[in-house]
Amino acid sequence: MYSIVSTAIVCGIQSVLVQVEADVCDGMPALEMVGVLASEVKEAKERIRAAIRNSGISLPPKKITINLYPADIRKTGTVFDLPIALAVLAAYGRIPQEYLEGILFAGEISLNGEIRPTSGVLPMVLAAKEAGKQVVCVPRENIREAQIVKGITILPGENLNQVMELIRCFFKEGCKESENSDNDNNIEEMGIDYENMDCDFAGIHGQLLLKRACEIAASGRHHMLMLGSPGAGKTMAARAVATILPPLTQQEALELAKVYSVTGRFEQREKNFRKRPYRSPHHTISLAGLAGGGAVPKPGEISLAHKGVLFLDELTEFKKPVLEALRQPLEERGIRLVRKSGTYFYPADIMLIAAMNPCNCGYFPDRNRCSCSRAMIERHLNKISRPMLDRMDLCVEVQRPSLSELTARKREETSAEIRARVERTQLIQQQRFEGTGILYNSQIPASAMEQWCVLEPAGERLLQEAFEQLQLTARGYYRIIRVARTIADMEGAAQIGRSHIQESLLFRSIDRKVWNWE
Amino acid sequence: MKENDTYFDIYEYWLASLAFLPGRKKIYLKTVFQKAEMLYRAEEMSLKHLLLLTEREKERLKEAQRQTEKELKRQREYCAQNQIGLALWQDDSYPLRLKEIYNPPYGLFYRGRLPDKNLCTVGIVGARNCSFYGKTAAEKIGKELAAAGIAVISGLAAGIDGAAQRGAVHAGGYTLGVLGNGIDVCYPPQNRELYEQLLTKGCVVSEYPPGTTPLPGYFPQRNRIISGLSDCVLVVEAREKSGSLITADFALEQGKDVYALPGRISDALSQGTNRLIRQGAGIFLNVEDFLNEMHIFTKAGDNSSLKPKNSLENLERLVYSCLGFTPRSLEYLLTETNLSLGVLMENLETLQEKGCVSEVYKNYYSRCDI
Repeated sequence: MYSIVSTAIVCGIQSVLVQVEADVCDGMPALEMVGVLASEVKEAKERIRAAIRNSGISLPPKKITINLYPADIRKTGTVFDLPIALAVLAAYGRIPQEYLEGILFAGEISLNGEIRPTSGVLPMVLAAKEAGKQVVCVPRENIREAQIVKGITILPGENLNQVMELIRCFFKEGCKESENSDNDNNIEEMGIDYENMDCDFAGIHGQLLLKRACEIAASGRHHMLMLGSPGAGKTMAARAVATILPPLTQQEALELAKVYSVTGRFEQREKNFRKRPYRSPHHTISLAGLAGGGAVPKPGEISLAHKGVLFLDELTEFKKPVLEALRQPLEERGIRLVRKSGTYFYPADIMLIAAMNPCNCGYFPDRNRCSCSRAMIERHLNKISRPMLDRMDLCVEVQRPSLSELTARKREETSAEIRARVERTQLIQQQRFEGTGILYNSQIPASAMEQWCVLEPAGERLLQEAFEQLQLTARGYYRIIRVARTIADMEGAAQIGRSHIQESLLFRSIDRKVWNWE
Repeated sequence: MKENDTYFDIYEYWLASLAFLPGRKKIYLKTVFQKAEMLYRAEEMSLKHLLLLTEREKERLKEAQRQTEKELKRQREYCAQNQIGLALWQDDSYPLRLKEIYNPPYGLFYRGRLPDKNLCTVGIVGARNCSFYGKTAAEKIGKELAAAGIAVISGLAAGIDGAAQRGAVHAGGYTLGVLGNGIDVCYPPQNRELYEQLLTKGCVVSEYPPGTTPLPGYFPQRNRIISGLSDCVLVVEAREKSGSLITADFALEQGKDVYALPGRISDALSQGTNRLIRQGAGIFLNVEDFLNEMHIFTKAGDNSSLKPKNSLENLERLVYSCLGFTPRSLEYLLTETNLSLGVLMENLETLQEKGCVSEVYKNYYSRCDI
């Protein structure tokens, strides 16, 4: 007898439907599987044999053939156990084929027939919905992930017998225990628990310039580089930036959830579904770890920080190829990994915050503590390539706060207050860029500068002077205008004035020329 | 350049360029053999009787004798092409002051014009990784000394040395740089511009033959020439352990006066200079006072430059008062003055235009009118 069951495979953060066919006929008892299978899929053979037996179902010895198609995609992952088992049972006639129609199955099976959680459930359910499926059956542990998708019935699988019973009931009685009805845990609607974040700008004393830079960076989603001595509060500031970012939109949150789903880390998004991610990988991270990779590519830290903050502490300590790999994803806001098995695209629209010491010992320009020679400092700064520096919109020097600043019980602004301003500034930007696909000032292309960044004559004059004096590059020039645009938006100014340019110049990139020595 | 200067004796050149022999031993060899050529051709037997030379030095001397005349001629050709002169110990052009020191260099390679005998010279030395204050002070002192007609001798190094010489060149004075490497090698490379200026307006000298790459061991030796060429030595900034203090030691050995620029006791870069003062070095207050003490009466420095401080506006004065000679961050100024960022920036800008303040590093400001 012949049977067919639908399942899906994850490819990047997208999912493609896969059909599992089973045929049972007389002949030498065997179980053959075909259809470009990875080894973990081939192993399913042993798992389902044991799982079916241990579920109390005995199958007479026959020749079983299983085929997974489309055959041009390499099947990887462990979601095929459940659909294969069901296809075999249906081919033996233990489940009527019509029970299986219109349902997408995914899940790993253990030897005793229990269904175990798997990764990538969210993209699969989305793909199922797009393909017009009404019902999906996923492991119970993955149920919350699947429930994000509206308008599709979710059946929670616990073990093989229970699934068989479940689909029988569902076929006979319709959507009786629709899991979607209990909306008490609708994580999409949940607000962000800003209060319980471990860091707040109110806890950072003094550091006026640093706070200002953080607010500008967050408002226009500019990349930021912090330069300062050890213990100046760079890390703390980076964490605090995450607390002044407005929540993710529904669509952004869903996209991010997909990335976490395919890495099997959905539970990290579960509690704070609309919170922007904050990732701070250690500087020993490998290229694949940061950018994504592997034989079957998995998203890296840049994708896990999608729409959020990626903080690289001790930027100079990162391996050079690892850092350079960031350049293209920063421009494209995503990374395309090409493998023999196909092309994988992972989104990576990040706000990069980096921190580094100004020299090896970290105390330059305090000559009392730093005796690094010019050559040493240049070598230190040269660890960051020019193109990488060029991508940092803001560069701010951070100084260790004085004792009086730390002990002064002055009330500092809280993250919530700053966040309100950031949200307002972002709204101004979104109104300006409506319909262009651009969201933030940092994304204004050079070609559209004249349209959106109108300079007052005084501002233009100052910028021209600075261009000559600081020997800016074209990229540096536009960067200053973009940041000035954000500063103007923060004030609600339509045109970019002199003061905006002046402030933007403060945060210009470090430049060997500017460290004027002789 | 005189003809016999450029086309010096190749054997003298050979003797002068032996880096393993100290100058005094070369002079000894010269008096023993009369002519450098004799030493070049000396048999092993005659070398054996040289009492002052160690066995190791004799070995190396024998090795050096293998250098061919053709090669030496080629090197002379190179020197002629690059206007590299060689002043030998017995020559008239050899600076008189150097003859008097212990272990003078046997030959002095030079480019430019060697100093006149009766020119008054001051050596200015200091830390390479200096503070902005030290750099500004050195430049100002160099400038004022040069204006008073005094030659500035230094090491053409990064930091204080370069700044002092730059000041002297700026004032159109004579300045001489002593290198610790071959005369045709510009080290450190960032001083290239200054090096070129010295070729025309001053002089660069070295006891090492052309092409010698800088080695750490050469620089302390170079310092004895700096102090030897100077009538007195001024140390501008030095850490507790500093190469500049070696120069001061040499100066004392050679019987020269040592002056030091006093600094705050908390500044690491003033530890060395303050200690010199504690040990009895002269205190440098300003050029006028310094010249008086040296019994040089000139129309010292142009103190006529009007003090711009007096023409400052109220807010400018506030910002200026928060600044010192150590670089202050913008952050510090913001909290100290309590001004808004825009107002502060405006005032810093006008202060820079008036020449009272300079942006030392990005967003670090310092007074620059010492």
